[in-house]
Amino acid sequence: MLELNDVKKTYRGASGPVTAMNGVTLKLNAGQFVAVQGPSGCGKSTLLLTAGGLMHPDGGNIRIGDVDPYSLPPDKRATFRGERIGFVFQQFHLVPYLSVLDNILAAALATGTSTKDSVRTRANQLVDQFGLSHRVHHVPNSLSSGERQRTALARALLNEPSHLLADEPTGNLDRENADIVLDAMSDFASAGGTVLLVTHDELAASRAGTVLNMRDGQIA
Amino acid sequence: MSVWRLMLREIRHRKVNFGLGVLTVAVAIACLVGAQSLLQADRVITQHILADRQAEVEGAIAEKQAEVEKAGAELQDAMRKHMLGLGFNVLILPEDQELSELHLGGGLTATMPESNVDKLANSEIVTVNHLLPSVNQRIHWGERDMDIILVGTRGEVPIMHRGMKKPLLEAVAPGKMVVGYEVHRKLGLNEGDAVTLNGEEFTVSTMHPQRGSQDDTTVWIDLAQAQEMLGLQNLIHAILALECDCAGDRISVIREEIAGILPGTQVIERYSQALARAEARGYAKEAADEALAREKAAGEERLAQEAAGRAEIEQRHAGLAAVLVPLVVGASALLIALLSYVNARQRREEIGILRAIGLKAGQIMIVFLSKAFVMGLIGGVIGAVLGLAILTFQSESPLPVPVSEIVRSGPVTSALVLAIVLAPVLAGIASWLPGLIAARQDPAVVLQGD
Ligand SMILES: Nc1ncnc2c1ncn2[C@@H]1O[C@H](COP(=O)(O)OP(=O)(O)O)[C@@H](O)[C@H]1O
Ligand SMILES: [Mg+2]
Repeated sequence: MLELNDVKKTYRGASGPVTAMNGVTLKLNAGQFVAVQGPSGCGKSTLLLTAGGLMHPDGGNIRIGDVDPYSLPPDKRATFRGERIGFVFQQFHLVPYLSVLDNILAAALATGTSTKDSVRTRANQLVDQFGLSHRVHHVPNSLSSGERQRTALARALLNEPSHLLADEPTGNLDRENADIVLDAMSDFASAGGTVLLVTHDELAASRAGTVLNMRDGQIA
Repeated sequence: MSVWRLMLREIRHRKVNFGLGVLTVAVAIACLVGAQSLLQADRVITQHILADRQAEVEGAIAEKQAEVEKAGAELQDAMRKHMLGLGFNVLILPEDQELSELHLGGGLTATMPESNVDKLANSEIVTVNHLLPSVNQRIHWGERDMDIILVGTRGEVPIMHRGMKKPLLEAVAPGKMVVGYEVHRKLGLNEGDAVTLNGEEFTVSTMHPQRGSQDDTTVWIDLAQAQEMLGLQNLIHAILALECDCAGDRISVIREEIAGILPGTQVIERYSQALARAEARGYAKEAADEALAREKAAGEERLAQEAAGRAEIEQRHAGLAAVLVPLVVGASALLIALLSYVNARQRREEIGILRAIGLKAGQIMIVFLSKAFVMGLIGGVIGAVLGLAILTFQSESPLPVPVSEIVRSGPVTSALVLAIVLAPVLAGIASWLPGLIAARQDPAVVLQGD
């Protein structure tokens, strides 16, 4: 479950304040796959980061499950993110010197389980699931974009989070890899997870159960 | 996966940054250890040099000491042999003896009975210790065609009321002859030579060294033989009274006492050559004492100078180190901080994502600090080795002691330990702030670009 209530965010830009979210209210239940679609600059990334416990809103409140992540002290919030939320970004954000397997396992550093056999087993399952077996010891810059995003997706899923938040995950991918990623997100929702996808791509958004349109910091 | 692995992988990935960090630490520690061990080497060298000088000075002083002791022993010996006590000597002459004759030629003409000496010896005289009767006459040695002073002496006459004493002067045995320097030099005499003196046979028994006085032209023979040759049987010219001692106006007291026993005599004080020699030896000893004191003073001076010189060198080195070491260490700390900051900037993205997926700020801090620690440890060990290498290859004269001895000495060992402990701490402190900035960075900033 993910709930935003009248959430506001204004940036102090170089040429004056920029309102990125102007009272966003939104509710996603467990098992729901919701896409927020809108043009570039309408506030999608801001919405995702705020919903993911990575950016304090200026107003309104957020609940992930029954927790307001911003009521937690920073370290607790970090751990909460690690345990409950998986993130996927357009730019992959892999650690450049870690192998595919280590990048996936890095997620377990947050929960202190990175050396557990059960976690390693799960990591290897994800490697197989996303067709990365032949790349397991490669570092990111020897991988294709699709392989990188699949690695990032495996990292997001390692800790078996309840929420998956994706910001333009298919922006850098070909159709085939985009489908793999979108399929995985559908599967996650089908298994009872909550998925929030923000994208300007209509085709990607169309894979969600619910599509919301965003304009100028507001859900239309 | 572990934070440790994450750190090692990162080090491998950004080798140059890490290598520069290690190098920086190594330079700082090499400077520290090098300076410390060079200063310690200074101290060890100083100890060696000063110990050497001390030994030299002590040797020189001991030599002088031996000289002084020898001079002292010679003096004592001379005193015993020649100096006639601490008193002075008088010559007892017949009243009518012209003194000018004594001073001009050494020979005497006025006589007195030889029994005078026995009278004196048997008297209760207290101011005189030894008595030597003699005839002293200037004669021509016919056979050798040489003017000499002939002295007949029978040695010391014991003073009865005092018991026998070890005689101060040896008598000349009958038939023997003691010759002065000029006499034996001119006549080419040697000990054991048989000579004839105005018809009498003698054997040369002793030859005196040069004395620069009448003694040099004097020939000593037995008193009785001399009396016979000179036709002065039972007569003598003079009695030499030795080791006269009395308080107050000495000569008048002696004169009074002798006049009471031997009327018709005069008493004159004789300058004693033995005393002069003793005085000379006294001076010699004094001079030796002075030389010893001078040697000691000079030795101390030399030691002090050497010590001062070494202290100056040590001070100069210590002063240099006191400026150089903090400078290098400070600059290194700054450089490490800078490298660390550059590293933190390079890592913005990866740190942002690690924070986003749930790593705590403390874990990021651990990654940074453990890297700094590893950098410090490696740099510290390399630096310590380099520092000791500086000591080994220093351009100055070869060390008087093996490097290992200097290394084992307390200060260097502790400097090594300190360096190896200090280096990671230093690197950690220098990396602290950049690490903190990296750990505190808002992950949203790098993730928002999408
Ligand atoms: N850090 C920032 N400072 C100032 N303005 C920002 C900042 N981040 C985003 N914005 C502005 O906020 C608006 C929303 O941005 P964003 O959420 O990234 O939109 P989207 O993801 O839909 O393109 C944009 O006008 C953008 O320029
Ligand atoms: Mg965006």
